[in-house]
Amino acid sequence: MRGYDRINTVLPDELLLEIFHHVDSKPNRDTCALVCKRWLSLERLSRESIRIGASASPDNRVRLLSRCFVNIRCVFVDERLSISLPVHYSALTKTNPEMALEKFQLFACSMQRSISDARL
Amino acid sequence: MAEENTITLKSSDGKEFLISKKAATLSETIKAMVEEDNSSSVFPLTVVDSKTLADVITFLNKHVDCGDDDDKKKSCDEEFMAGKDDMKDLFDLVVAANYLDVKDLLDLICGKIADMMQGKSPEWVRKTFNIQNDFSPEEEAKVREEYAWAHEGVEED
Repeated sequence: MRGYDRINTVLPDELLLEIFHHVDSKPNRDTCALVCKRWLSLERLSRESIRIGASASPDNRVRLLSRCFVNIRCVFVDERLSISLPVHYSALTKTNPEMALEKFQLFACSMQRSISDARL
Repeated sequence: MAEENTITLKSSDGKEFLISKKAATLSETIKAMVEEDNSSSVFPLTVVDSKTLADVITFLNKHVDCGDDDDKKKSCDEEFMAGKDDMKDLFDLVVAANYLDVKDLLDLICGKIADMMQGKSPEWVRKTFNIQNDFSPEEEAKVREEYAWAHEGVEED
């Protein structure tokens, strides 16, 4: 029967999220996000921590991240990463940034540790 | 084996499977059913077909035999997964594991599907899982750009 081997037909969101939790490493996560729109939105939901490059405009960064990845709880800032802000960020998925920000905790100590590591 | 230590599970296509209560109740869903209705010995599972149920029962029995021995469980799980490459079977199993609330099985199958995507391209994933690419080339380029700066987790030094 056609359709029964189609992952998007058979699996509900909760099971795709469960699968994404088992996908580790950035390249593999990126692959999932690029598959289709449904996977992109679920992949974003499933991210809880993120590592970004240090930026001259942290407020913008935080706003961007909270729009893209609404369940983010930890952000690690790493000076070693190169910075390239996306050009089209104003067109990113609109969620309520205020609400997302409430969930958002910037772990200053992790940030400082990353930065001091980078300086060693 | 004493009667009261076994129950019968009935698949959606009407086949009956005898299983020990101990193995069956590794499924939280069946455990709740048994606790609720102690007098019944036949439990119909209307959303699990016989082929999938047979697989689930094999898994549950293996896990009861392994007890708390994690190494043994691991080799049992590898044995169980060997040759399970058919997408439909994997999807049926993951849906059943979720419905029956068998965490070890759910983790095992989700891990297997995740492993299949390891190091693969989005094109490969679409082809393998029969997914229609609904991004326009512009949208896809934009997502690639956004993801270029969003690194996952913490780098292990």
